Amino acid sequence: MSLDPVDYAVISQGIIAAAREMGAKLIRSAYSTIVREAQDASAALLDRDGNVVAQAELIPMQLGPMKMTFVPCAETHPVDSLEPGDFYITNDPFNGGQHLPDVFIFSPVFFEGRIIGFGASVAHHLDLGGGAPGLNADASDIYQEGLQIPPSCYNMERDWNGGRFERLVAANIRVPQLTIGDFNAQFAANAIGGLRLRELATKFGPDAVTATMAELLDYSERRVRASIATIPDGTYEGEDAVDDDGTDDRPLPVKAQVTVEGDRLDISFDGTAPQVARNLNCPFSSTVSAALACVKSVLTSADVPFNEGVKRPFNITAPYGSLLNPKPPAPVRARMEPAYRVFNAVMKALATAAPDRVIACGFDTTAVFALSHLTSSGYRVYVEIFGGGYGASLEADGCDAIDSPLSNCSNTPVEALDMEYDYFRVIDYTLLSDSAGAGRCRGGLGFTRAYEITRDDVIFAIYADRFRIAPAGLFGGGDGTPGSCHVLRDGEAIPVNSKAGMTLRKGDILAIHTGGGGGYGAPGDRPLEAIRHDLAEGLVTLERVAMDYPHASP
Amino acid sequence: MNLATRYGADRIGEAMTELIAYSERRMKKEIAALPDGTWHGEDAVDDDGIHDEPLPVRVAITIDGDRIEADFAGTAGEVTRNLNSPLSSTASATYAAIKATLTSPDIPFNHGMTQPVTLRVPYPSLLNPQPPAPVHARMEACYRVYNAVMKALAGAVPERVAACGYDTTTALTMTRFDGQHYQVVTEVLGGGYGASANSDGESALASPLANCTNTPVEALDLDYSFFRLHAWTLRADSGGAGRHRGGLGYERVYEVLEPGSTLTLYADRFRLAPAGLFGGHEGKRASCRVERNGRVIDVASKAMMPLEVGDIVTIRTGGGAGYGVPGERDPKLVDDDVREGYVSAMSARRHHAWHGVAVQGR
Repeated sequence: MSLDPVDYAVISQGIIAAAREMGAKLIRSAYSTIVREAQDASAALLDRDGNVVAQAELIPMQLGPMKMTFVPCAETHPVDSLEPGDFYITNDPFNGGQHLPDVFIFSPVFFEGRIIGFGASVAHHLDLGGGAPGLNADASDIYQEGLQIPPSCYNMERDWNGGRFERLVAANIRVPQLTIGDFNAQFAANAIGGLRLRELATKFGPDAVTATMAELLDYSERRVRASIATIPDGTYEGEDAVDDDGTDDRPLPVKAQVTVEGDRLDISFDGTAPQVARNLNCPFSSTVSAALACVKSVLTSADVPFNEGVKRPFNITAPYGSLLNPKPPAPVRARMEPAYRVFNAVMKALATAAPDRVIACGFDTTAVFALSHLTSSGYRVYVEIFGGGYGASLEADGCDAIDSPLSNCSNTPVEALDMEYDYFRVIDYTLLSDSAGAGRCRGGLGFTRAYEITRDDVIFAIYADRFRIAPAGLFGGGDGTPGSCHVLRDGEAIPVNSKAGMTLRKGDILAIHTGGGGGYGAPGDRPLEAIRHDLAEGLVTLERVAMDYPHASP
Repeated sequence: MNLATRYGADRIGEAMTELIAYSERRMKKEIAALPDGTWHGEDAVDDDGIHDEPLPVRVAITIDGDRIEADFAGTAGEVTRNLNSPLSSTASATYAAIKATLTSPDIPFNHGMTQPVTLRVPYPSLLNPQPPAPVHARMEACYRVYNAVMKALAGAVPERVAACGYDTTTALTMTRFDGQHYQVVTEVLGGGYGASANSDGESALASPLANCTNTPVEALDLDYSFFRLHAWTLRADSGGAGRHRGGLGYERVYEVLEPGSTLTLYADRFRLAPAGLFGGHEGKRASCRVERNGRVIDVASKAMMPLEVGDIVTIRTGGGAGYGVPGERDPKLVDDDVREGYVSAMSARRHHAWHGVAVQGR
């Protein structure tokens, strides 16, 4: 049908607003701090084929490959066979999913007996069972990582709200009172998205709504193609590495080849490390997501809606059996570390093609930090995801102390933790002076967070990266500092590796230092005024200024 | 449904009710014939797999008219590993020991049989853990329940009980991961039964609560490529001496053929031997070891270890204990045991003053 441009504008913004409302609903209805406060969750509206049309701007990582997650569900239970109340659900990393905690739920939107789209949401669940609360750092296969939900279809009426599927899930997880609440927040988000879509269909007719969805995808595709066309044809290469797999000291290289040809762009990861025996493997959908997030942020402006159309000009491949496309039953929990190296390697490749549009490496690491405690009334689980400093760009210093670009989580306020948990308390949360890489634009700063443990037998698990290999500066900029972690016990500091677990005692002080971002351009070009400002704010010390910026010393 | 079609659903229902009532009547009659009183029994699980301390299981059995009460006060607390026994397993082991001792096999085991029995199990404890306690290896504690109840009943009806057997679930799991697929084999191995007033213990049989059959060597050979069975033999002298001898345990030997293999074991009676009754001797304890490049590695009863190609895994299950003093054993039976190789000549001389000449008769 032909679409009136005014109707298109109204309906398309209505769809985007509905997706954002879904995101707000999801966060506000959630029970756990990881969804409620840290906002490790996402929502989107899909067309009836599973193409993402509009999304709440939450976690890029979860949103990129939603169609890859949707399709295996629709193959098992065709869209035409769905009935009101049905929903798709999956967390299968080898069928388009990410890692097990990220559970995707797709709810069909019925209008006059016909499915016109899907409300979709994903949340990182606090604990889905497995070999250890919150995070099983030692898992050597996916079975040890928790409950696997293959691409499936259940019905709200029959299977949830006390139904058999809900009971099965609740029986296999450690904090069902929070986690089932978070699942319900996902259902609520899907429901509000469905309601808004039906309202638009009532007002403008379902055909106008579906035509608008199709046009939104085409629009994003046109914008992306136009942008790729401005880059000189050629093949560009970039490389970075994950520190290690947690069992030995060898780095795991991630290599990207970016080929631009007219208005299409191919990315391959030949030469990347093979899959590993620990949880550092990155399912293919996560690899795609990380690569897309990088090219989209470099090539297009923020006003191009991220949807399935964005992906059409790209072809992304990774060798099967490699770190970036592992075979089952490889453990995948800590996939974000290689996913960030994908982001970095693609960024470095693009640095040659479009030097003015890229940023230097940041800490770019998901530092997942879990403290749990078993009491007579059951498990308490606290999981938080820390960021660090961003890399600097041509125009600006890197952001300080912020979650890394693929995940966008917020920090959990210290006050919220204090109310929720009684077996630890936060005693320090400060920016780390001198952690940023020097440069014309400097990197962002990492931070320190310290916890005093207030009970015996608190279980600590961490996975992180960049404890060995520092974030690289760009075009003469200096490297950021690596991260580190230690436990202070009886006056002695016990170093903790980036992928580790240990049992803590009352009185232990646990401290994590996240890394800073790399600088962009030669430090000698940094304006004196900016250096003075950093000094006054305590972001950099006099000693470091003397070392990094000799032109600023008297 | 065939029965219901033929006789009508109502009559089937009545028959079910009567079957239950019949067992209850028979059971009560047996109990009423026993002397009233309270008797105590105790046994212990070797350890919880991380510490060395035994986990005692204690029971007081009280017979009062046609009712019987089993009170497990004084039993070990809940543990942090999978040795906890859920309440239903504890109940099951108790009923099995009571039924085996007090009634003949012609009484159908059903709900009626449990009616005269009252259970008291402290909460939380090893025998009644609170969630989310792990419980996978519950059978070890269940067997100690069986043993403790049997020992208590030995006070009331000495002629009807059996001595302790190996009475252990020996779950030996070997897995192989080739990078993508798993092969998993689990064998539940038995050992020797305890002797009774009337007979020697059975040899090399799944323990009384489990009744699993062995997996034929040929079936293992067909299904699995990563190991092969080298030996499967009775362990001479593993049965406790006595007027009636305990049953024999056995030895099973595996060779590992492919890389990526792992051994996981949970068992018991590696430390604490099955106790004899009325002068009967203890049965032999169990053990497990891995031979690697000429070196012998002892494996604990609850353990997991990665295997290498060429490793030889040997598991020895325990024997049952004897009943009555060895000196009272019929010399003809001692002759038979020596001839069959169940008892060595040396042991026969020591325990039974045997004077024969050892001849392998098989």
